[in-house]
Amino acid sequence: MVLNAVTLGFIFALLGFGIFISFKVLNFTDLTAEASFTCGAALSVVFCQLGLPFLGIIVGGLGGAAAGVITALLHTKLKVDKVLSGILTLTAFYTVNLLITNFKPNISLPRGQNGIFPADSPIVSLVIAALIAIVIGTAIFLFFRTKLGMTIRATGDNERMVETLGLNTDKYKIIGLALSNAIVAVSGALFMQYERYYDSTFGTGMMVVGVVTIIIGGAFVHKRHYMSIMLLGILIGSIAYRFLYMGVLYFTNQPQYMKLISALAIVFFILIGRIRLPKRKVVKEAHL
Amino acid sequence: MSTLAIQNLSVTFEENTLNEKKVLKRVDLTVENDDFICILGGNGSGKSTLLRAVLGLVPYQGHITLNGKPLDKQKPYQRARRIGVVYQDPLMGTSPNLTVAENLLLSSRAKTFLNRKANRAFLEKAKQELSEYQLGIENQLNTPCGSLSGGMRQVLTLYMATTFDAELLLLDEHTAALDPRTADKVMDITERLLVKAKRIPTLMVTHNLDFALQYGNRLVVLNDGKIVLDVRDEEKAKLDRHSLFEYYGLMFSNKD
Repeated sequence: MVLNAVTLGFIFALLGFGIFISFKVLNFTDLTAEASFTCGAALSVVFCQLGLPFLGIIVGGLGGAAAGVITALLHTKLKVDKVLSGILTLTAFYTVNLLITNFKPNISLPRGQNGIFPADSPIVSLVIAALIAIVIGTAIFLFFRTKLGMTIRATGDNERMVETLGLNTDKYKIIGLALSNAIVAVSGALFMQYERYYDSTFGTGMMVVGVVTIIIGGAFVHKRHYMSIMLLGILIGSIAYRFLYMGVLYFTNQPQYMKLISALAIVFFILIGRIRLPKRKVVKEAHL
Repeated sequence: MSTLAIQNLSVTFEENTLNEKKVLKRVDLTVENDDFICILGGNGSGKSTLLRAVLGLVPYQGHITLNGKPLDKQKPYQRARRIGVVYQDPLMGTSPNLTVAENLLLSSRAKTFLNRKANRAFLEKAKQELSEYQLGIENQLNTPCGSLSGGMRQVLTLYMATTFDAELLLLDEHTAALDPRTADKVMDITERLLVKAKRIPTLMVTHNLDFALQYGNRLVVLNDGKIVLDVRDEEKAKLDRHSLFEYYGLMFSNKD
């Protein structure tokens, strides 16, 4: 049970990373994540049935990236509001995800057909999940130190400044959201393969899970403006959240309590963050 | 040889509504090479709007040409590749959560995507050049820009706006948010940076009459969307605070 919680913690850390990129780095309230999580899982289950679980994760990630690009295009080219762009993609992908699985709302992998996680060895599963999370986390950290990554960070930080430097902010928003949703989709693909089960409602509520992860993570670490530390915090936060989940299941035997407890956890950890850390400098978007 | 040619520029806010307001009315302005123009004018006279039109941040009628190439159809970011700009608000020019070094690297237009060696050389040069101004920025390369003082941020923005091969520099009241001593210092650094950048043609909007008299070779006064005074060199040298105030007086009496 503990191994299970830690493994899920690593898998959902990716969700946290993805949402961290859109919400915090790019400053984009992107609701697409719920769609891309399911999209990753749907593509993954289809490829698992073909016996290609590894390819399923990669294609799943690409599917998520596509969802992110659509949201970004709606926002940048058609000037649709950020939240509305996300909701539009989210709604459209509800159908797209059903199309991917040929209108089957849920699919279980038959016995003997595995994802990349072996069915009989929880420790190996844990190691695989941990490796993937650490590799992707490191890759994100290194990416945001390149000039492209720095530009994406600056776009979320001070869009006008990036434009002043002669750079097209639309481009960086598109790349950023594609990256964010690809990582969320990989998380969905891994979750599906770990659970050996796909459900078209997987994505529902994932936004909150991601935000809880970031907030718990933020409460655990100091110096939150350092990306490396924040990514580590998200990893810890994600595992902590899974332990919380495990505890709730253990004491109540009713997973539906989790929504209430997630909301309370957010409030609780925001309070903790306020007490332990001096207020973070809020830089308002300045106008000419 | 003219650098920037503004022909027949009109900007109207809230067009075709009851609140329609003509901010610029058929303005013509030709900026010569080596020009450092100070633009004065009361609030609402259209100074900032003029710069914003050049940057493509407001819709306008008329033509703007930079070094023979028309700008009218270009997007703001395309124009910004050739135009350096510093705004009044020190928060505008830098990215607060990125470090000074990262901000500097972003400003280098060179395609040094992963070229660590080129990046290090660029930073080393920037560090050395910034240390000449004795502000201590050079020792804070790894501090987030959000924790720098307003003056430091403005100098950093100025540096970033002049170190690429800009064809034009726009300064929109870039000392207005600073205390008087810092403002003097920033103005002094501006002048030194301009010398170093081989006198990029510069348009500086200011409310500070002393700066307008002291710096630049040309002075333009805007009133109610029109240019009411455009003097250079010797004629500019003859002006003093008193005569400029008369223009300000004219502005107020002209307002309907």
